[in-house]
Amino acid sequence: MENNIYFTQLRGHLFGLTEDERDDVLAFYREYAADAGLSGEKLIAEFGTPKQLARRVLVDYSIRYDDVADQEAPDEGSSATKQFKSRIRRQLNLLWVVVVGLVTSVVWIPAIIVILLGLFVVVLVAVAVILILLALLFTGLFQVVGAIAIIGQSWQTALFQGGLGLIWIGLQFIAWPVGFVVVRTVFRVLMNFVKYIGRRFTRKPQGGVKHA
Amino acid sequence: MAMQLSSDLMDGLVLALLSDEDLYGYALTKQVQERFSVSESTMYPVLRRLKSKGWVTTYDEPFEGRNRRYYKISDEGRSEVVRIQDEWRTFSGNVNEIMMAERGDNGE
Repeated sequence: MENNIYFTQLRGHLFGLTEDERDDVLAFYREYAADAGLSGEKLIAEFGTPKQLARRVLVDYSIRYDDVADQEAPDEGSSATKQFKSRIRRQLNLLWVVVVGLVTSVVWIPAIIVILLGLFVVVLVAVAVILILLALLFTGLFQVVGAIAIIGQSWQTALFQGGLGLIWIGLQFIAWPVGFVVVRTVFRVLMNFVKYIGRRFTRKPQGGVKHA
Repeated sequence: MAMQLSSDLMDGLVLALLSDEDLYGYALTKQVQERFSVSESTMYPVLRRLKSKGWVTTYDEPFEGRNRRYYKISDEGRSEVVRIQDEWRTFSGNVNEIMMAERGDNGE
């Protein structure tokens, strides 16, 4: 493959980066190839196909971006929810980039399956937590309404039931943050695994390069 | 080598190499690769990061009808090297103390 074609294709695969960032990547690898005297088959043997190189660059890019963003002190101006949202967006993007990168080579299929299963578990846990908490809330409301309905017949039962209902409702204030922490922890474990896999993936170009 | 270089260590190694002389991408990668197995796609983000932190600057120099981008350590980069050296001294000292300690039951 002509070097020019290789780098044109590389540019095309660097989705999600700005023009400047792409220029920078291109300049670095062009120069590297020229200095190392790489062209044709040797270029592909060293870097992988344009697609594979692009995906490795993107994976490495997003992992480091994520690490740096984690270490940096939070902006004074932005609120906690805003930071949380951007963190989630960043990590989902990282997850996506890693999975898309891994797809380029057969040897990583087990890793992809594990990641997707992990994601499934996260969603499952989140849904379960939400359903349980909502059930708790409705039970509480139901009890309170029931208590008001029977207050004329037996105020003792009404008081008991209403109190129970209020406890269920009051528990919500503790239960939601706890549920949130549970979901976040499961997600964090998954993201650590994704980063670990991503680092392994970017380490060496030889990840089933030969089938190019 | 099975042990992996953390981002911090990688920064330190690259900065240490650059504090001896300005280097271009290929030469720098080769020097790191002499001892560690890192791919070119690892080097690129490291250099980008060092640059965005202001620890290195770049300049282009013509070479055989094209440009070579040289990486040069900045003053902030030099103090960063000192900081990483200090951390590494403590860290490796602690590891050695435990890992390399003379064990009584070790064929003495």
